[in-house]
Amino acid sequence: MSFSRNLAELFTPLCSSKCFSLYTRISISMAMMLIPMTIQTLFKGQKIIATIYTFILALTLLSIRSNLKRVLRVLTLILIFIVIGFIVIAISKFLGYPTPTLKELILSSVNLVTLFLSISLFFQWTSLRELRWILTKMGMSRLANLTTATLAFLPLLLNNYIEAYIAILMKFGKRKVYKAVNSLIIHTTMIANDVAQAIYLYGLPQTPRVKVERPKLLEVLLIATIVILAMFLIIVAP
Amino acid sequence: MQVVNQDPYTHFLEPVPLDDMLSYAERFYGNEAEEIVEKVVKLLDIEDIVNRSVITLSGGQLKRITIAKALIPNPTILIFDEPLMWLDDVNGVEMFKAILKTLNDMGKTIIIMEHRFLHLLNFVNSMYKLMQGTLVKVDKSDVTKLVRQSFRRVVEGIQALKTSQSNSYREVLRLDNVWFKYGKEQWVLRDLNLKVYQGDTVVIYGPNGAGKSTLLRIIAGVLKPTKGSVKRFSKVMYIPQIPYLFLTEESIKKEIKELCNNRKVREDCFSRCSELLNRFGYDDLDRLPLHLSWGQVTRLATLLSINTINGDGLILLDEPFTGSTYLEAIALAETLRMFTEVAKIIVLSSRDYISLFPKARVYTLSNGVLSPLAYRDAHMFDKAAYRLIPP
Repeated sequence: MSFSRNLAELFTPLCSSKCFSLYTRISISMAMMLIPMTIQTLFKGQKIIATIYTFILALTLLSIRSNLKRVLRVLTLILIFIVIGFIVIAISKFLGYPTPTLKELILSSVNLVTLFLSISLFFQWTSLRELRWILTKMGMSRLANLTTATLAFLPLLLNNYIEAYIAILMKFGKRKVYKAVNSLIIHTTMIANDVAQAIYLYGLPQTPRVKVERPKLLEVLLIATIVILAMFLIIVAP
Repeated sequence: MQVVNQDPYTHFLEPVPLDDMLSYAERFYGNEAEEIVEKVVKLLDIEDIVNRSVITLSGGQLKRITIAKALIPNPTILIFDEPLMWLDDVNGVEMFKAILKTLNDMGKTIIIMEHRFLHLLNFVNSMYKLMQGTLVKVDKSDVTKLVRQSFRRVVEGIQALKTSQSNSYREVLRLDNVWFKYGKEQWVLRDLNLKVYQGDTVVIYGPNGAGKSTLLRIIAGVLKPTKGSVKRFSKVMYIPQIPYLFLTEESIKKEIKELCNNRKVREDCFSRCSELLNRFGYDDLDRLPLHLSWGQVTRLATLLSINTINGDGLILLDEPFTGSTYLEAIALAETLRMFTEVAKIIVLSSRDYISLFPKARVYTLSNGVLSPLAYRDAHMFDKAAYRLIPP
């Protein structure tokens, strides 16, 4: 039950501008997303040290503001998919189809987990008003408004999932517990009504005035270290 | 003029209230927005919660932030639509009284629409009842007299409550020395013992965050106790605080059909349930449940549950009166009372509704410990107070 709550909180902004400057936060989380993607695309099944480095770094960065245990607990969801992948590959191997090696498989899984953590890092480190500001600066103000309305209620909806789950489990038993999705759809329409009321009462949020400070020297050093070390490990290490 | 809605969730478009308030304030004050928000935040003493995510805040905390947001454009008139809804007695209602005092001191004009109005008598200059579209002035002294009368009657009624409830029926639930905590966090529940018999009504009262919902989830079997045992001897149904989450189909008729699909005699089940719903005023079974009011949905979910457990199981109701009007609350309580063979566990965060269950066993859940409610301390209202409410 606390799983859905943990998952919801993993995508909720935790760190306001007081933590690092906006540029630093965006740069670090973007770099953290790009590194596993680069390794996976260009060096599939290779670069063990770089892969481990990014994974540990992602966990460390997440644990700065979030509870590491919670992050690890949420990882069980991704592990389920990884296990399913393993099973599918084992069956494929059994049937004689071409399959990746075990090393490739493990490294790809770790890269996937790192990418997931980096995405949640981006959402935790960037407040919605900053995200809106970025989108508006990119000339996508309509998308910024839609993003606001959507993302604001996503954690709330995830949090309500457990209530629906218990009610439907008691109502129909385990075999039809999937019907909780219907309840959530109904509830989503109600939340949409809440959003409409909020817009009616207060209007759509205007383009936010976000204070964009220059990153401090230490922050620049941090970004540089992360990127240079990753590049070094990708190029030099096996 | 600003309106503060019933549901605090209808006030925020951003997950962190501080960001939301800043966006709103920027519209009126531009670069001074931050300063204004800071002032309002200090005024309502919400510095420690305004930076947290909406999902981690209780209804009461969110309500306080909502009022702060409404104050940003410095309105002359504030309209509160059922401000006590979602609020518990301990933190919520007292908190709202403190806010009212602050607003009174600021010279704001306040209009309150509220069913649980008796809590607010000392903060209003005049009272009206809205009856068939007409506002009728009510004399405050009449209300005070009614409250005194009702309080006396409740205290007298409480003496009767001490007599034991059902004891001739079979046991439907037993909790033995139940302890619970999430991971390595503090104990949420400590050494709980509870026996529920067929036909029992058990009310568990406690403030927000006391562990009531956790207890219900343990009873439902979704959570396992860290120590101790839970034994269920009959079918259990759970009605969540947001009753719409109970419903899965696009019409009431389909709800009944789905529930009856699991039964051996489907036709009989369907006709029995339709008849039951008809008896309680649900004539149009093709109706979309979403179109029903909050109170009607709670009652519908209760009736469907009663039909599912065949009239002799256990129903768990998590804050069933949250979104209901007083009249809907009375209707639901009366409906529950009619089914004497069904055991009910009702979780409440407001004492106002306890008197709706005169024969219930009432417990408080505080600091994880379940203990019988000290009735004499309970400030409850009886039906005398409802005379002011239009039929």
